[in-house]
Amino acid sequence: MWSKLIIDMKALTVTKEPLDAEFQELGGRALIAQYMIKNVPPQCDPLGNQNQLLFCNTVFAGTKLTTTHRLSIGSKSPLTGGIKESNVGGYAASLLADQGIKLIVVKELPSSEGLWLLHIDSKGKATLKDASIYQGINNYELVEKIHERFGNKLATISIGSAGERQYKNASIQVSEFGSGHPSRAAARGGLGAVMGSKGLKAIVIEKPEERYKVEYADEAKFNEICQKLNKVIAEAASNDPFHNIGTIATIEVTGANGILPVDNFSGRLFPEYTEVGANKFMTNLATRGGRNKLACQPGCVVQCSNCYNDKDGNYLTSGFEYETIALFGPNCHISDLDAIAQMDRICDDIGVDTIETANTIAVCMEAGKIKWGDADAALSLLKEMADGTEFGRLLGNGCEAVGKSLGCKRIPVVKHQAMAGYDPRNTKGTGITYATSPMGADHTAGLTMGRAFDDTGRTAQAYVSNKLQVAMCFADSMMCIFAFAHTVPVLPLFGELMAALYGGSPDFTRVSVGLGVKTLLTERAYNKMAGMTIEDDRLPDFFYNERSIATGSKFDINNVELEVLFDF
Amino acid sequence: MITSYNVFVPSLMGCGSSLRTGLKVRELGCKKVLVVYDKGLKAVGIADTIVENLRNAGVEIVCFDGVLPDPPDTMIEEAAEIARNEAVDGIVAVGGGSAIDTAKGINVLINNAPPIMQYFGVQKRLKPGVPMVFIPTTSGTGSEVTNMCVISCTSRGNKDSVVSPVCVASLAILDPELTLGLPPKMTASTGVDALAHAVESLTGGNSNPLSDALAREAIRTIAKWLPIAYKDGSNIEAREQMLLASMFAGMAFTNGLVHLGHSIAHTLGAIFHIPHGVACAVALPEVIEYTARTEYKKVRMICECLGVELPEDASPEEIGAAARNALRALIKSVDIPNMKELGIPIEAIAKVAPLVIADAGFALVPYRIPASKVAAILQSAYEA
Amino acid sequence: MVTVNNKKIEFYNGMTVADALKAAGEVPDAIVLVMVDGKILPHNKFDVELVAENTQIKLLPLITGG
Repeated sequence: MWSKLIIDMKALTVTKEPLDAEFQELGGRALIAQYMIKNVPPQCDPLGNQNQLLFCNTVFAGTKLTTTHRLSIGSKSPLTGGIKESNVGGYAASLLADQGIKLIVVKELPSSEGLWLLHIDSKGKATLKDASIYQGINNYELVEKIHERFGNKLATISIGSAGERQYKNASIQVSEFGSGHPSRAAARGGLGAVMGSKGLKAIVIEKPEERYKVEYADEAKFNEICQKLNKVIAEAASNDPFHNIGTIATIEVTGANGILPVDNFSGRLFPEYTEVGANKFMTNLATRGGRNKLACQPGCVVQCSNCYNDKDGNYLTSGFEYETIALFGPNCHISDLDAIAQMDRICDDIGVDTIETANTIAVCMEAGKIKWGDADAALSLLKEMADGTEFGRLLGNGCEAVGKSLGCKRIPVVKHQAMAGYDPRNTKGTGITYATSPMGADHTAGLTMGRAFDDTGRTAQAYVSNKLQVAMCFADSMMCIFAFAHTVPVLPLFGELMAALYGGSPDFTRVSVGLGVKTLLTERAYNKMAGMTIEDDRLPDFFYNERSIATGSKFDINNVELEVLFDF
Repeated sequence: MITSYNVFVPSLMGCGSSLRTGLKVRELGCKKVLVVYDKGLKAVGIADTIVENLRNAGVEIVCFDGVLPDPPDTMIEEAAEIARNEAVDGIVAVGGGSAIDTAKGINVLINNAPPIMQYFGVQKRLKPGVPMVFIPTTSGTGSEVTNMCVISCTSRGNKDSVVSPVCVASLAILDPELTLGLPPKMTASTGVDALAHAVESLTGGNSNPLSDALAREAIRTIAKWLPIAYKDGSNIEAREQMLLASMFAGMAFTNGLVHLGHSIAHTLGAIFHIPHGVACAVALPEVIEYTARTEYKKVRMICECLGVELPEDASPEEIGAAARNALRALIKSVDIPNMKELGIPIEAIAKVAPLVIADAGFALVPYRIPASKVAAILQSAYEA
Repeated sequence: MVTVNNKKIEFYNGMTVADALKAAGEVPDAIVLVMVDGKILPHNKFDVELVAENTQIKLLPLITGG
């Protein structure tokens, strides 16, 4: 029987209870959606006492399914004003599963000034400890101090100074399996601010002496299907560019096809993208003692993570990803991979979303605050954010806030959240996802690149966006989407896994509808109750009006297609 | 919107053109061809005429007369084996969509290993086959100018398509004289299939100006000549016009693609075994009405081609309704039965809808339509 | 021998990456990355980049974005 931890930050209590019966067959994004709609008033202040911050495991947590130990973090977002599920790799979900914990609920606000950390020890005892000594300390230093205090057999979930300051772009960072670096980010939607509002600096999960044993309906059957799935994924992963190189490989496709955002989504091409591309990355790794093919969680066969060193061979950053590189790079007219790696390090350290932050920098460049391509000036702005200067605090509130303040006309956000590294004019299905996803401009909610006829055309784009948005909902409830992507030929096996674990019929609709469609519709319902309207399901005007010079495309998808996208 | 038109087949058109088959096949460099047809076409003597024509041109012949309707994959694999063993360097198909699609399937398997079901979908990497010449005798599936072949998958009990350059003919020969003997029911059924190709390609998500132009011409021609060809099959002008309309519609839909109408047709056809053209026609008017919400400009074009006058300020709903009425009138004028008359039980309608939205063509609909609304369309058309 | 994924192709002088891919029956579309001896080669260079004896070519289809 899984447990739920309830952390009351007003009473400063920690209560352990059995997981509610209604959540038994849920996990990840599906669990977040059902919990939120029942327990968190959609009209509440995201940084107020009625909002709750949730951490949960997936439906297959505790089993041997590869990459099943993703951590889903959910809440009402201070950035989008709607429901937010932000999921992250790293070691925490695995150790929470070992501890027998499916869900952690953090509620209320502290009644007095203070900072706490939640400590779950090796015997399973969970307590709130005073963390005021860590006030203002950023993630890397924090994690070092946690290790000094509690040892090395643990995982951390933490916020940096950005979260403490309740920046709307604040992330929650999770430690990577193996290295322990706080480089895995639950980045989108400012959930770090919610954690900061609750005075929670960190969750420290020690490896338990006794591992929780999952209760199976048919363990042998589960393991048999699990082995099949893991084999399919491992075989496909051997030819996956994410395994062979890392997510940076994506730039080799987007850079060549006009999908890579350049100069604040100007629609131009950036021939120097190869300076921040796969070959440069691999050369730097090889010559400086860096590594790729790293697993961020135990048992992952995709192993897309990396460890990137500076030119002197010293550790600089990990989990150095395409989004960060595309958006701090070509989208800011920067072609210096090392400078971008530094930015990645700073963002992980202070705990901010690199996507939101990089878009914010681009908007500063467009408004003339700093020059296009000036990496040093960009680094100075990040320092202001870290130092909490007046402008730094504005930067912390994200792309839209800064854009409006500086009078920038071209602000690439949907539901107030900045866009990811795909220009919606040249991957229209992704643009449809950006517009309609309850998560805001989120590429992981349904990236359609390469899937529907011509990426720059209309044909089948809405169809693919719909299908992928449903698929990503159930994928985000089960495992990492990078591994999931390789299971498309054998999807029905997930229905069989559900039956072998929870009993009942091996019907795939338990997954596609129960975890997929239901979650999507629940999230939309939540957002509607939070006050979102049809106007929130649109891209900014300039994508409809300005042609991408790379392809001649505008985002000319008609509104009716967007309105009916979720008619099931 | 930036669109493209990519699939094109050279064509020879006109009465008597099929008597140039031998010359054309020789021009293509073929020395030994597989001639593909069904037993019915042999019985009426058309197959023999083509075979003789080829022999006279000095082309060696191997015949395959085992074409079955809704070509099963097993039959195609058998025929492909013959083609490989005989080392043919060309394929000539004469007949309706079944013969032509059989030939295409054979061409897929000439240099790509069986089974053919592994190639369902859009295939960009198949090894090329041999030159193909198609001579349609119905008006028609338009398959002689498309890049797709529809195959019945015996193991799964459904139909699917291979879409590939390997399915594109080197030459289409359109000889209306070969269609003179087409019985009225088949004239009507294949004629409304062509109509469906035209109106769906105009209103689907992949339409483009060139396919639109071809579609409009096809609709105008079918509206005028199908009723005449149906009532008087010996009217050569009507046959000529219908054959051209079928080809235009084929060119339109292989580039513009089809959507809900054909998704409904595939589903009804598979479950109730009704002829493809009839299955396309039963709900086509309601399908086009549904598209008017976003494609009202195109649906207005359909109305104009059917001779329906509309006020300038007509609303999308009004345009849709007008198109629905005009299309139904045309379909009824050639005695196409409705679902009730075909003996389809009304209770089956609700079950059919989820299968329709699972069809591959559903991705091309102009705006998303849930299963419940598909069911409503079918219910509305049930005894129309 | 030149390797393309798991296929071994006979090498000849003047063979380009495009030649090797064709011989292996591969027509990588835009979403497929082509890695030649550990380095990504852009699609527009396939016709000009020569291979050597023992060149290893790996096709890496991008299944999802990152």
